[in-house]
Amino acid sequence: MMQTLLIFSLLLLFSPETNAQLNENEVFGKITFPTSQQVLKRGKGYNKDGTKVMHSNDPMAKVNRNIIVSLHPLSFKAKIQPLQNASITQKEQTFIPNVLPVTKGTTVYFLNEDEFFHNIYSLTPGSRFNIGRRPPGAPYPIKIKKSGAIKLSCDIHPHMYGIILSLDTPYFCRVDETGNYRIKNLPDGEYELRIYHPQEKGTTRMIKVNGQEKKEVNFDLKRP
Amino acid sequence: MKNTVLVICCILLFSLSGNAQFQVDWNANIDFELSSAGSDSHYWYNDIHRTTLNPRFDISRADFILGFQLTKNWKINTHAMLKRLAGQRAGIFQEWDVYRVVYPRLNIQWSANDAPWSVIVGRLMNPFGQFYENQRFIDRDILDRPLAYSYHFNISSIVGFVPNLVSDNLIPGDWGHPMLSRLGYLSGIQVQYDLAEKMNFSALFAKQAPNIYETNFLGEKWSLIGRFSYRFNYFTKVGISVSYSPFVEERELNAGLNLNQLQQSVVGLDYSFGYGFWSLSGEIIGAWYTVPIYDTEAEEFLEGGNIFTLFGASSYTDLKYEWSFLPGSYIAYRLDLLLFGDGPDGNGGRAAWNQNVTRHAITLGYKINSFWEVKLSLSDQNVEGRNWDQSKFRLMTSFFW
Repeated sequence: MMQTLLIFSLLLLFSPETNAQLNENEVFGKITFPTSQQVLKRGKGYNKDGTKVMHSNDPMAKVNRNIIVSLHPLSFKAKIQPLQNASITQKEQTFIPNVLPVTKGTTVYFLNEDEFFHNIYSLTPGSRFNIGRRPPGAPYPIKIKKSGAIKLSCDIHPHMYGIILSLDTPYFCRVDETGNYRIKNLPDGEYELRIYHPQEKGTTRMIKVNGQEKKEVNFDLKRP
Repeated sequence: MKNTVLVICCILLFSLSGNAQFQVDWNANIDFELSSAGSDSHYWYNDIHRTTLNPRFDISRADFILGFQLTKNWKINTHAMLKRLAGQRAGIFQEWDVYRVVYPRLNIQWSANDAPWSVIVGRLMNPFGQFYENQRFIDRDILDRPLAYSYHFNISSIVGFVPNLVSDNLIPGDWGHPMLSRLGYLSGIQVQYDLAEKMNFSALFAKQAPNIYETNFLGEKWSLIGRFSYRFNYFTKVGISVSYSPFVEERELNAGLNLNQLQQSVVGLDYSFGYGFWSLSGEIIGAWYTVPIYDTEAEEFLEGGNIFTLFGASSYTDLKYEWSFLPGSYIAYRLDLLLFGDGPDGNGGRAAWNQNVTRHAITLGYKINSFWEVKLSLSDQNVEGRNWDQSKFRLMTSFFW
């Protein structure tokens, strides 16, 4: 019995997860994203319920508020916990926010704040679902079981487009209205920094932080 | 051609002006279809041409939709469609000439600032009913067009009522028309009023009858089409549509008739209801024709060239269920009816002026991903008093962007 306890204690002591020191490192910076409107884009098509095509002016529907920065530990394994109260709202035929970052295993609640029916479905492999037609009111929960970008659509209003960004890390944030971001309480270690936005995928950078470091990492995603 | 040049000039002008509002939206789709049909099929009755009854694989249709937002108030809407002529013989992989490009929409739209009004001028969609709202196959639950929008019956836009058009399979190009035309595009001016997504009103003045393909053939005459729809709550919507139009064009055969008296009036009630994975929708349409009777053998108008009013009605009911265990899939069923009242039989008596038609159609659909969908459709129809095999099989795969 004593031997088992000793081995278990040693395993805990030297496991990568616990070896990471909570030294409160911090990564921050600014992401510059093109602000000009896309001149050519996929169209809005027809609404199947005959309603006029709408688009919300809510700040969380705008491009600059839907950039997600995430840090993915390479030198240790981070403990992931489901988020509480994660939700996406359908308002003025728009998913708000357009991009919702969550940890894998989170239950996301879908809300309808319009005066008409909405539907939400996803055809993303591994995360296909369909919640049917839903009236305003009662939120509808869906548990996110896989990591990755899960594309959301509405069958009634085909122009609607949203993303649940399911992450395998607890270290992420949304940029503010000026493009700044800040991720705190990072254990020492190496990370892959990823930037996600539906129009700008795949920007990554390797970084290393230790000893209560405050590291600035800026990105200029303006197109040439 | 003049319209196209005008549209291109407007677009160039606004795009070169550095206007911050200028934006181009685009959508496209292409539909491939494997189809076969029963031995008594005819394009005018069930969309399958009589020369293409055996299984054939082909491009069914392609659409390219472009919207140019010129300023906050002005927008140009265009829709080019590659369509198969009369569902004809094996086509594009052998011959290009069985296809034609048509323009269901080519119009300019003005929307008021912070007000629910808009005005559209040019080629536009008929606002009658709810069927035309879903223009592309990918937006439709059932592949077939409803009977009211596709089944040709004993009416000619040259001579009026021709008693044996359908039963004798006489229908050539200008003879025999459905209640409302298949594609539903018209040229005219439309006023729209949309109040808080609750209430919508449209009125269209068109130089074309809504059941005839040709544009501008009315000459000095106009059609008037109106629709009012109301959403009782978020899952129940009803609409009422009316249409009044002259529809007989001036020809040598009808010289001497007062064409202004010959007209079509159509009234429609449409509804849609949905909850969860179910939806129910449909339309009930009544049509009145004020026409003379024409005998094709004698080549003369019967009963002294007198004018009669004929009544026909149609309804379809669509029921759809989406399988929650297989996201992206659904099954839909349609019951489609076309009924006719009594009319003069040409000998001083009265009889039904066309055979009633019943059609059952079922469609299974599956969206493979955001750009690719497959639909399987089976339908069968019964024409009263005829032992015709007009069954139909269609397997369509659509790619859309």
